[in-house]
Formats: sequence, structure tokens, C-alpha cells
Amino acid sequence: MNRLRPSAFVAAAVAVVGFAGLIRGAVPQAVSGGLGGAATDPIVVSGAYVREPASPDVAAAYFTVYNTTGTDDTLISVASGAGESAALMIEDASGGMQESAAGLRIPAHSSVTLKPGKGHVMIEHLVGTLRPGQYVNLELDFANAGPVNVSAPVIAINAEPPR
Amino acid sequence: MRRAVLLLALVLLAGCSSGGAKPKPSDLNNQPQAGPYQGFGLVPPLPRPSFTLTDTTGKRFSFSQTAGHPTLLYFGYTHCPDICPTTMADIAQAVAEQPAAVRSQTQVVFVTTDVKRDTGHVIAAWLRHFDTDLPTKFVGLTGTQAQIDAAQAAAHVVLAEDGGQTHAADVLLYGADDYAHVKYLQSDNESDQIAHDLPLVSKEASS
Repeated sequence: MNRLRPSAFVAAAVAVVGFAGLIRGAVPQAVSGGLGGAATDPIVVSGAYVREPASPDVAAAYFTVYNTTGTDDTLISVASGAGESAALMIEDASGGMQESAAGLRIPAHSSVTLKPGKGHVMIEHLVGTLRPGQYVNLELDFANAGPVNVSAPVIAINAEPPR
Repeated sequence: MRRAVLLLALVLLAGCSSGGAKPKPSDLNNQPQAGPYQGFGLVPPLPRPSFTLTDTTGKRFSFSQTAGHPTLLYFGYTHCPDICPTTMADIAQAVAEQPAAVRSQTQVVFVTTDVKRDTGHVIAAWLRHFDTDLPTKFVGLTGTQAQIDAAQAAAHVVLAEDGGQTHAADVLLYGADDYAHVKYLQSDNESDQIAHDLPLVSKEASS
């Protein structure tokens, strides 16, 4: 978008509408951790949760990402206020967990679920104890959709994940 | 509106995958089973291994102390954000659901694969997050790297690498007959699978 072409105005208009949708969507999402965005959001994150960690300094966040657009998108980076560092960990070909260098591709009109054994956001050097009922803030940065804020509830160590 | 359509589409897809001619395997549930178990059946069954490690109070602990009891054995490490705590929570949930007789005789043994960081104190603090409400406390074991390697070999699990961070996710269930007829891998319903199978390998079932 360095050069302004006529189509760029359309794109900019769509972007403004999209961001407005994100802001609207952020309110219920922060409360429920469930389906958050308005229908115009390019990326919708649902079912987010963090299991109460048994370790004093590492936790994992899980969620489902829906790409509502007709174009593939990529989750390129993650950040969290709950710890000093956050990393996107994805199951590799051998079944181990590796920090994802290329990011996580979310195909057009599809969803990808991070769940135990498949992928998670690893939050290390926790700034405080995480207890059920608290929320962990995540910022998920997408190549096309830009940053998406998610508020993930901390669930009890033996609780069923939210659906 | 779009959300409703999306959900409807998911429902339809789910319907297709269970009723279609070519079912799509969902997680581990469509894997072949052996016998009455919901976990992965082991044929031939694996004998209860012999190894001696150190418990969280610093005492020697021989795995043969669990002989005759249904025993869940898992290798992992505490600085693990993902599979290890989820697996321990699944195990705890499955044990908690058992009738009192099965619950009290079931042993859970966690062996660390990270001998550098997981001292007895660290393991004990970690395990207390899972077993507080259970009558039989989980056993946490550590040792030298050679002892841990030998224990994994004796239990027929793949040796952990990367300071214990890449490790087998298998949960082995040894029965009252001192054989493991079934094992588990992390999945959405690992807890339900273990809960289903535990009574089958308890003393009442094998006598």
C-alpha cells in the first residue's frame, strides 16, 4: 500500500470497517472468551483458554482461529501480558513441539485449532500466579488481518476446556 | 448471521464425517482397538517393568512396589506447558471418577525426563496440583540420567531427548495382573478412555 491506486481507497475503507468491527467485537470477547468478532471481522478467535498451570513459571494458551475471508492468512507472532515471553508452538512432523518459524497458516474460509499436542502459545516467566477466573491477554498478529486481541479465561487445572 | 451459517456448516460437516462412506479419522478415536479397551491395546501386553528411582522425599522407590495394583505410568517434565500437565489432569480426572475401591487402589507414577530441573521438591509441588482430592497420592520419581534412561527402556517407551523436553507422550496402564494391556496418547478424550479402562484392569476384574 505504498502507492495509492484507486483500489487502495476501497481497501482502506474495508480496513476501517474491519477495525471498527474488531473494536466492537472486543467487548463481548473480553467477557466470555468465546466467539468475539462481528460478522465483518476477517479473523475470529473462539474457545480461548489457559489451563491453570501446575508449573510456577510456564503456561499454555489454546484457541480456535477462524479465517472468514477468501484469502489465506498467517498468524505470525504472539504476545501476552501474563509472562515475559510468549511463543507460538506447533507440532512438527516428528510429533514434537517446535517454535513456529514460518507462522501458522489459516486457510481461507477455514479454521485452525490449537489444542494439547497440536499447538499452543507458550507463555514463560509468568509475572504472577494464574488462577481460575482470571483472564490472560493475548495479542495475535496476523499477516493480513493485523493484530487481534484475545482475552483467554484461566480454567481450573482439571476443568473441561470451553467449547 | 454468518456465524450461524458457519456453525450450521460445521454441523453438516460433522454429520458427513460420521455417516459418510469415507470417514475422516478424528484424533485417535478411529485407531484400531484390541480387546475391550478404549485406549491403544497392546498386543502382546507389556510386563510391569522393574526399575528403582528416587521419590520426592529422597527415598529409593522400586516400581515393583506398585505390583498387583492398577498403575498409570507417565514420563514427562514439570516445565512443560502443554502435554504433561494436560495428561496429568486427564489421569487425575479419570481416577477421581472411579468407584471408591478402584480409586484407592490405583497408583499413578510420574517419572521426570528433566533430571536437571526436576528436583524432588519441584516434582512434589507440581504433582500436588493434580492429586489433592485423591485418596492415593501420585508418586513422583527422579534419578540420574542413566537411571531415567534405563527406566524408559524397561517400560518400552522412546527415550526422551533435548534435556527431557522431547519425550514419549504414552501413558501406560498396568493391571492387577502386572501387565500393560493398553496405553494412551494425548487426545480430547484421554480422560474418558482411561476412566473406561481402569475398572477392567483392577483386581475385581482380573480375579
